[in-house]
Amino acid sequence: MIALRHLRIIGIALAISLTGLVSLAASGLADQPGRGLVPPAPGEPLPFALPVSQSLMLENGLTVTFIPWGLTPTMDIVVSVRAGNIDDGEQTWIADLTTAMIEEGFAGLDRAEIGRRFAAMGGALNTTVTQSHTLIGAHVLADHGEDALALIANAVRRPDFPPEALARISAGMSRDIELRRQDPDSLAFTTAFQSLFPPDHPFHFGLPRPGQVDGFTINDVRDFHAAKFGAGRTHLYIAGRFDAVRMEAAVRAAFGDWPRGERDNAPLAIPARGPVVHLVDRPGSLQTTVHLVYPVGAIDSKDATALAVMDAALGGAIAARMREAGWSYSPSSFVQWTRGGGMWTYTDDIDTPRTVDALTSVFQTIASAREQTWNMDSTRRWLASLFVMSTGSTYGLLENLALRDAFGLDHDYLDRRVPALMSVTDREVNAVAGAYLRDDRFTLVVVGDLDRFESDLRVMPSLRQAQFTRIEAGPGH
Amino acid sequence: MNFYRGLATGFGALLLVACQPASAPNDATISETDGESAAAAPELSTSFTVDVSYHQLDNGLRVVLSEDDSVPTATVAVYYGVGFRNEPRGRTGFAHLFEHLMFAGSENLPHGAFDTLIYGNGGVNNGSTRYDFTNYFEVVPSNALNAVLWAEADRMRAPNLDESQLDNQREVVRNEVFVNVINQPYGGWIWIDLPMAANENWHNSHNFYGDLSDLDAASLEDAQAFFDQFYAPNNAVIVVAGAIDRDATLATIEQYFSAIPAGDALPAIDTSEPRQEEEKFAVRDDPLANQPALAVGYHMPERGTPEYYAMILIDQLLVQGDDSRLNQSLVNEEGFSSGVFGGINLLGNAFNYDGPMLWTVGMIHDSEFTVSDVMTSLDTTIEGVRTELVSETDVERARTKLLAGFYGTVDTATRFGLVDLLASFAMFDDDPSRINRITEGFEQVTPELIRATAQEYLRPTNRTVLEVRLAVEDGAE
Repeated sequence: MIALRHLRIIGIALAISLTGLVSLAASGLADQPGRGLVPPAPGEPLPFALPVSQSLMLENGLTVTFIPWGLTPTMDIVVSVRAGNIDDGEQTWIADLTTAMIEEGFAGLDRAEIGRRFAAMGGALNTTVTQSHTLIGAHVLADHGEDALALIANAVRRPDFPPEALARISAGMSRDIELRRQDPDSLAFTTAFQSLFPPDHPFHFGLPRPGQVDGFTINDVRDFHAAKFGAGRTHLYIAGRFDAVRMEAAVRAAFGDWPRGERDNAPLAIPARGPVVHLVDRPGSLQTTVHLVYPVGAIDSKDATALAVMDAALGGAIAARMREAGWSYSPSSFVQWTRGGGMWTYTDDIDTPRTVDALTSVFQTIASAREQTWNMDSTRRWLASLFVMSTGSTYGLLENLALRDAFGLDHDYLDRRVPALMSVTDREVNAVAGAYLRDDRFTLVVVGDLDRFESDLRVMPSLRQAQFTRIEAGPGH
Repeated sequence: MNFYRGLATGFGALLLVACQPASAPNDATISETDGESAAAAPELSTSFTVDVSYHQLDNGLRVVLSEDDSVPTATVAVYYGVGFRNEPRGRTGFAHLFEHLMFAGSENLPHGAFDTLIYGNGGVNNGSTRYDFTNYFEVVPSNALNAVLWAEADRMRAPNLDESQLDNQREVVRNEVFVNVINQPYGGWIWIDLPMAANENWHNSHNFYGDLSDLDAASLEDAQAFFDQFYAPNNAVIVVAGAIDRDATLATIEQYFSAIPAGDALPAIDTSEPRQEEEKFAVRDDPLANQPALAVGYHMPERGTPEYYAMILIDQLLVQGDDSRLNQSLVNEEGFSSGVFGGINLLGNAFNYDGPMLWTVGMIHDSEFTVSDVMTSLDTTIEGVRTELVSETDVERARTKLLAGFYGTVDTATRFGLVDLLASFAMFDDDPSRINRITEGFEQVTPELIRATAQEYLRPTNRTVLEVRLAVEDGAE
């Protein structure tokens, strides 16, 4: 759905940059000389408490979390199964194919009937496959919660995997894969992950080979489902307006007799240190797509909250510089956690002639975060506020709980989130930047028209310790 | 592997800096449970009413307030009644470029200070340009609301329009166009190329992202004239929603905005489109695409008419959701594509525009199928709606999907969907309370009206077909 992704993008002006964030504390609006008016100071914060949620575990190991909170008379029901692309093995994207085939029919209902039944409840069967999880759920009117739950349970537990649908689904998936193979961002992502994790590691993600998905059989799909779907690997989230007693009964009826399934053996995923630079040639490209990745500590490490603050401040500073210079439109940074590790990533699409200037600036900003202690007052406040906002919708609240559960974090992790963010010190942020964002640790992927900047890029001081590889982008990549 | 709306992506509904895409493996099971049963007090309500109060200042500024204390944040949106359709000839893309300039500072908030103020108070902000409006919105902790109102008033009164900012934002916009259109396969095909081909009236048919030469030609004088003409309080709506005190908020808005003088009456522009009498065809050769694509746009009935409401239900019947007829025929039965998408006003929704509009269907399809293959199947499906009465069950299901979709729009963490509807109903209908009667128009729609509407508006002679061809196939057909 490439076009739809674009539709959301037009007109976004300066939103996700944290322009000026870092300089806030120093500038002090009220102290601007020569200015007659200053904005009113904020009042006392209103109190905030996370809505109550409750979890229980069925005897078969399935965990269910009830979140009785919602603005509108709707419900979000999501089944999260610990089965994702890290479970693909040699069969790249078998997890995706399995989930796509679930949508083709279950419990004797064909795809058309499934569509009609969910639509009559106001929703649709939504599925997503991530690196580690398969998510199957629906957003429906509150009146239909129990019926929707029963249908979703059938989807997860009783797929029919109609053989006649396989060729069509595989063909569609192959088409999407070929689209993605042309996408510079996808190219940069896979190049980075293949560098960060060794070839035999589940996180060594790549796109399926041409024709690979078409070669999967219905038995491959059945085998994946049989092995990777089970109550003991599943967390069910029920959020919105519902009668808790009746929903619990519905959960027990729908899932109580589901076998526990294979034990989850998800691997540790600790990314490799660099420094390494992968140059991917895309002749004629107007922009250079960049992924710069540094391995960092895990979400359950003592550094995690400081890393989140560092990311916001550093990402904001880089974005401010890019926008100020007019070098790029969509600079972005994020921390991605894995089990046992994490990665801080900066991504961007840079105007081709400014590639080296922009990257030089990025490394200078990173060096500044390492070498100087920045004032984090506003960043802490911003992140705490962002967290509060993120709990302001039913699905947002559900997502937060799922994040907590996906990493087995403490039950009160979210309740403590605001004070945890507010208590991170400037020195702690400086310390994690100094420890993790060193010139001997990064993986840099540069996808672009290499003839126009390669020689200058190779002599950038920040890259002098790095090993370079050069890749010609092609259909087989 | 999909990366959209991942359950574990944390701030999915929010802006994505500092998000934590926790797509990681885990072997955790919840060890802490809160007892044997989900004993939360049942709260099952299927009622939903948006709190709305509507006011107008003496200078013409319309004010909409909506109180909702669920999360201690406030969302502010300022909508100006100027969009793509209003931009001057020879200055395509100017409305959007000017949106960027509004972030470049104002008399009492120098460049960067606006963002600093918002983020420093723990908020986020954004802006966008559409056919009939340009909007600016912020979400902040409620205790910072007054500062945001102050800042919006400052830039409504006196933005800093200077040459260096114009030059800088021109570069940012150029990069935005590269990212979203020129450097992307299919970039802009369905939301720029198709309306350009389908519409006859320049106001609707020009490239609203802007020809790069027009962007280069834009001058500071243009910007000042544009501001003077369109950015006046009598051409604006301000919406404040969230945890607010209505009376106090209205008093603050009066304090900050009432001294801003009203502007001259806007020049009337004729945006009407002639009735289309012949089917139109257009071709886009796309050197970056690797699969052909097809988009079809039909002119919509006039907004607010019975046929308009019927067309919104037809959109649900034909293209929205897995149960829709075109998804069933083109995707599930024929396997042309892995998804059909489309709708009314692809840059917004069926409510937030005020002028001619297209109903659009699009797909990226397998190259083994010809345009003729796809169009034959599409015609068969659409002819079904034009010639046969749809069942009451189908109509009811379409209404249910609409209602659930409306709830989904309103129940977001930022309240952007809510304030957008309130602002649109205020701006285009002078009646924001329409949000609580949003289903009214649909309740009157009968199967007969759907057939009659389809007869007139889904005529082949009322449509434009845009074909995206691969570069290698240029001229092959």
